[in-house]
Amino acid sequence: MMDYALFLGCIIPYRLPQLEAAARKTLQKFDVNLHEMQGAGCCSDPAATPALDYKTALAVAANNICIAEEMELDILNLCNGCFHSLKLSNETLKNKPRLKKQVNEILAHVGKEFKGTINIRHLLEVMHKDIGLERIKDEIKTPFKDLKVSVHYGCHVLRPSNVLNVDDPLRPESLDRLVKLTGAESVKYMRKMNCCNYCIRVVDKDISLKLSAEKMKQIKQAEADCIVLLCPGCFMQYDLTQKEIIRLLEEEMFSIPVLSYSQLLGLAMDIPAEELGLQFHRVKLKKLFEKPALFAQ
Amino acid sequence: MTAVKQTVEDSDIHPNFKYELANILGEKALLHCFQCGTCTSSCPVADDVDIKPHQVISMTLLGLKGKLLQSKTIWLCAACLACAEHCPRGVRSFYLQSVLKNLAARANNLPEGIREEGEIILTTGLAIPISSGIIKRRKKLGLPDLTPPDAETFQKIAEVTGITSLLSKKGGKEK
Repeated sequence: MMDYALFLGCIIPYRLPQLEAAARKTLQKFDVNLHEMQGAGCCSDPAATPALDYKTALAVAANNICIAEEMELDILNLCNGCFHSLKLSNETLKNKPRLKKQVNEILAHVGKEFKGTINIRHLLEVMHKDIGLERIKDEIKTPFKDLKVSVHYGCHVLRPSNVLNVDDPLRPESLDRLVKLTGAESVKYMRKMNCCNYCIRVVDKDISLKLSAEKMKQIKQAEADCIVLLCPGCFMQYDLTQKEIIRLLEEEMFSIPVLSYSQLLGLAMDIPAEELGLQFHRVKLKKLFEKPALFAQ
Repeated sequence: MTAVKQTVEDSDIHPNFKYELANILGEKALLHCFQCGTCTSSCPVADDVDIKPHQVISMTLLGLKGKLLQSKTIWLCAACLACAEHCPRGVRSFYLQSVLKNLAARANNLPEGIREEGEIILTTGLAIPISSGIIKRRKKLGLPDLTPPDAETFQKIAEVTGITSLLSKKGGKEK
């Protein structure tokens, strides 16, 4: 049995609960016990609070970490952004006593104290390192056949690598390996490591979508059937606004379904698509299921 | 892109600016930048900004505080951290830009989108509002009920760090 405090953040529970459902359903099969973090809120948002004021961002993150410290459990994040905010703050406060003292002075006003007793984890490393490839392989009931996946890691699970320490920051392989386990092929494509640019949407939407379009073009050229990713921010960019992105390419209209890794794995584990919330995606997955011989018999 | 010649007045130069920033960052790496441009070549938004990441560093070293703090460039950082990962001198341009953003926000250069985002986080405790449609969707998916965060905790943190006034300032400078 593995026990974690589940940190949901904002986008997953309040905008894309299907990603939460898929993660919970799949983790359940691997004997992972998830404990709810009562009173947890926004992680600080890598694009917002740290840009306004660094110490406020540290205090907001630490306030959440304190909840898990009281539970005496490591935090499991499903979102790259939350993982980034919480892990960076946790490591900074553990290693910089002066900052820790200042942040604890702020937290004293809300009745909390950061101690530095837990670790911050991401679903990717829990799947890849804690549960392990062998164990996951055992749970795969119907592997995919001829499914081409374009893997997108998302920046905030990898960088800065000296602190996050999840995978190689420029040539990561863990998610590719996890995708291959399901029988799918991880296609090679240009700009694979490019950012989704979700973080600059609120500052300049045109630039944000234009940069995403460059990546989308490469994904299409690689003839991928779907995009598989981890982060709800990247999901918002590629699923919710895919139409706007593709319009920028001045090509014939096309669409590429987007799935979280838990959703892809869930399908291969024979969890019904409705339970994984695939019906709530903006880019419909119908086309994907119509593809002949998608699943091996 | 063609280079634009700009005149710099003596009064534009703040020689101690780089030391102030190194002090906030808690590291001197910034002073060791040798302008190789690796940060710029790894930056996804470099083609779309008027001041490139390596130029942000050189302007910092020259002390062109006013020009930097009033620029839109610093707000267009996609926070991908490719620059921080690639820099051969350990400058980590991303962190520098974060400090510049903190200072710019106080110099009335705060994009409305970021201000709004900060305001909702630090008043409600969540980055997005709770919608009834999503609550229904959660039920359909068999997900547990959520306890929203304690909004007062977030408001108190903003009050103690003194950024409440920053959040309520409407119409921050945005180009």
